[in-house]
Amino acid sequence: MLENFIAHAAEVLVDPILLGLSALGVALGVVLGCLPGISSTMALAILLPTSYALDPQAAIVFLIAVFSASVYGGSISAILINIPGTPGAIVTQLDGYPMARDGRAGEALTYSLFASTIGGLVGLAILMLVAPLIARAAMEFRSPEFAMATIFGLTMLAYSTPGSTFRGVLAGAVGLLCGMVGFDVVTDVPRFTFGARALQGGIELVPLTVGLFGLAEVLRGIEGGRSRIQGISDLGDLFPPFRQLLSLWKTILRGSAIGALIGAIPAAGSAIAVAVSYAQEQRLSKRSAEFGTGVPEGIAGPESANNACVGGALIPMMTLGIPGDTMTAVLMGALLIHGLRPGPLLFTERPDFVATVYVALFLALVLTLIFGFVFVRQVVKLLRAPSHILLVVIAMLCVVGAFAIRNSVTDIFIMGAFGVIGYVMHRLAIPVAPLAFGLILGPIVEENLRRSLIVSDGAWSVFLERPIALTLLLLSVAALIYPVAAPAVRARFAARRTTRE
Amino acid sequence: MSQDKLKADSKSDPWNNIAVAVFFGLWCGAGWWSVLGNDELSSDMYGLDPGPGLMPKLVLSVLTFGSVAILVKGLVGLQVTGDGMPNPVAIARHVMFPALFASSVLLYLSLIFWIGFVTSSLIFSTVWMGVLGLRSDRRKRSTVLLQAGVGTVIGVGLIYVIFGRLIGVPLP
Repeated sequence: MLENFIAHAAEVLVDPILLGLSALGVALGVVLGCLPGISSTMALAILLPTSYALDPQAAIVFLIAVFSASVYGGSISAILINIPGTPGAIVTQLDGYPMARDGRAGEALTYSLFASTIGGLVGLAILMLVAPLIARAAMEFRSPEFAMATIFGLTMLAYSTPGSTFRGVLAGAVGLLCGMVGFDVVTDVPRFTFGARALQGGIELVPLTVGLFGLAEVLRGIEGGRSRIQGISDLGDLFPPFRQLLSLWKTILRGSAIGALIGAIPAAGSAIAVAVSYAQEQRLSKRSAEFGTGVPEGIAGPESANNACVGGALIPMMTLGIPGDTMTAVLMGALLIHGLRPGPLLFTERPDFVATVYVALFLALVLTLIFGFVFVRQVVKLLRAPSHILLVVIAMLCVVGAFAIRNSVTDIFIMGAFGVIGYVMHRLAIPVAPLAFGLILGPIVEENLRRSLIVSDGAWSVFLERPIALTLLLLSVAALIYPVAAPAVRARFAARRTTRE
Repeated sequence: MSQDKLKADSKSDPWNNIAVAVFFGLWCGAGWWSVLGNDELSSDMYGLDPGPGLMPKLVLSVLTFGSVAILVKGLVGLQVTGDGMPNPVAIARHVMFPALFASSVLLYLSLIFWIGFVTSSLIFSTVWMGVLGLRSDRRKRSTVLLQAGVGTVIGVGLIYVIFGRLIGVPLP
């Protein structure tokens, strides 16, 4: 594995086109990630169509650079204008903005950049160590295990938005329906086509994600009506005392471990990881009362978790074909377009591609560190750009990007329709990400479910007789019951405690 | 107000629950209409394969159950709180610009295939950058219009160069 990594690293580093694409991806990722209203997922969705003309290796180098850099980019606006550019930066603003207000904006950005880089490298190391093991174990999976693993992934997506579990499940069900549009792969029977030829080809993932995460966000931004944002523009000194930076090593390692672990749970996402990391640092710190006033641990912990999530989220995607979060869901779309099917076979059939993913992430982290230090003052000026100009350009990008997939007008209309659907879902407080997950995972569930039943002569007990499948099924049931049962159990215990007192 | 608090408030609003039930109910309606009108989905001629009708029916059943559950929650909530219907004028005012924008994207698509990508994009972009800019800052009209012009030229130019020339997408 290490030899493969070094060989591919050398191959990428001497190729000026791949280096250039990675640098471009990093620049675009940081810039788009730092602009409020443009999330990492949106950045990836609108740039994904530009990767079509590239070969798979170049495409993944570019997209992973965008992915990784945009995660860091979100912390810039969190620190300077108190608005997170990405969901993962939602906690960074708690201490980042107060520190910036005290005239230490440059320091805050450096803590963020340093922690992001280390966190990302730890996440990559865990990815490189753990992914081959999981892929090897997954080679023992058969259809029942894959069916249950995907069902587990689908139930976990309900947790991608805490507090909206039930609506998340229903949104996932809508995604499953969308995944069934077109001809059934086994019997060629048309489903949900409503007699329209345009729907016989099914609903492609990319126009759906561009619509849901691109156009829908544009419509939300237009509703908001905010044009220009005032923030802190004087960064001051960029470099804190070196000893202060080094003293954060425990915080950064803890955050990295939390981020990689939570990122590896399908659909968990960085928002959960950063919240857990922040809470942990506050609990362990000797100056916990000062959290929220500009404490370096309050920035370093969540930022390392945020970037470690990137490596963590790639684990289920690459080993099982189950997205770790919404960004890896979009990335999966890119892989599928280039004819690459994420899953355990990727490690045996295309180990070179797996090594490219590792190298791409490593390169993106290094380039983000360089870009962050060299160009941060210029990037900060972009925050003053009127958001409505960006929104209109992004809308046009969505239209052209959707058309570029198959040169199909149908795809543009699918993008437009899901843009409106995504906007309506936001207005109704229905989580959007589960819909995309359902579209990806639906065909996998159905294919494996039906194959399992064929092989078992129609016996549903096949899912109970195989230990791994049974374990995954029980975990799925527990995940569905927990949000309903837990408050009731907690209330009962609280009542008993009160009675005893 | 944070997004999470907004969402929490929405979910306890009975009218929001009813609207959500209608949203999912529409998907159910379309889905069941398609499934029940397709005899091949109900056929049992697939041997050991449960057939192409299994998953649609399973998923639609979950969706139907969920929609009804949310509808009941909304109706019960309405009985308890007695909230009046939200003001449609206020809602319309809030979604007016996004609705106009979404409609104009449809018009933009028709124009692309009629007068070409570049011309239609220049029109679409200039109009919306101007309108949105003036909406947020009416005082600096000339600055806003200049920004719209510059933004349009740069934005459309970049998209054309990247997609039309570099990637080779056959833009009309």
